[in-house]
Amino acid sequence: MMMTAIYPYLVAAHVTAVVCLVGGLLAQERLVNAIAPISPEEQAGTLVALQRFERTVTTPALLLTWIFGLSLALSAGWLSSGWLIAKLIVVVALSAFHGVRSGRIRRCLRTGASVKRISGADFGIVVAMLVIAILAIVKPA
Amino acid sequence: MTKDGQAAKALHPHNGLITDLEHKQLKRLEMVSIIEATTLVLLVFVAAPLKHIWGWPYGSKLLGPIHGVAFLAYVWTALQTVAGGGWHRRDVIRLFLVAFVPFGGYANLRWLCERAKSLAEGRQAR
Repeated sequence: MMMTAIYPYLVAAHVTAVVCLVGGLLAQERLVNAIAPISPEEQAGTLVALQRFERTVTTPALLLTWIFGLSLALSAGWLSSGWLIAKLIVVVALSAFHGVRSGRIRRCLRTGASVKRISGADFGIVVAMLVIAILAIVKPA
Repeated sequence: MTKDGQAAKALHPHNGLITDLEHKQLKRLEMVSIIEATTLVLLVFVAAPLKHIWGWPYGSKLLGPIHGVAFLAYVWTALQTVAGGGWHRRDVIRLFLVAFVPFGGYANLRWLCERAKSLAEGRQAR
């Protein structure tokens, strides 16, 4: 009874965290693409801002996405469902991408190297989000 | 002065923040390592015996998901730390393997402390 009552609130919290995460990842990737051609000295200010953005927005959003998402899966008994396992693979890939990107930004700040764009990453984020949304909404057997 | 140090100095407006980044990242990894190791020890040595010997399943029902999130947080923070560069392959493998061993996270602490210390000494030398 109690789980049924909090279910819609868990969904709302999960969706909010996902929107912040994916929006943040897309914004981060577009900014990296925009500053990639300029010199490392000129990139530094933007990289510091991106690093702070990662620390205050996208990483907390990632943690909350996982906490609310796993709570939902546990409460609804979806952990053995095929669609959720497929969704988890995409989510793990997206989380790993975020970890690698934020690590690379830190490396560029530390070494003074120029940040490199990962071609197709922004498109990949959108496709991953579309796959996640379809799997979560349609829940194919 | 090392090449890294010269490059960091060149980015002068944010120099303090930049030189502190790696140290803070190691401290975060240390903290997540403690949480992950503690939840694993509690799960294996307290909740599992309570469930299987005394038939009290609530400990593992509570600790299971908490350890799951702690494990994911550790693996993700380790990946983020390693992506920052400057790690040997052997150290990377060790960093990920300890997540599966009870007390392994505690073994990490001294090693990460030493790494943070050598980083701080390197910074002072500059």
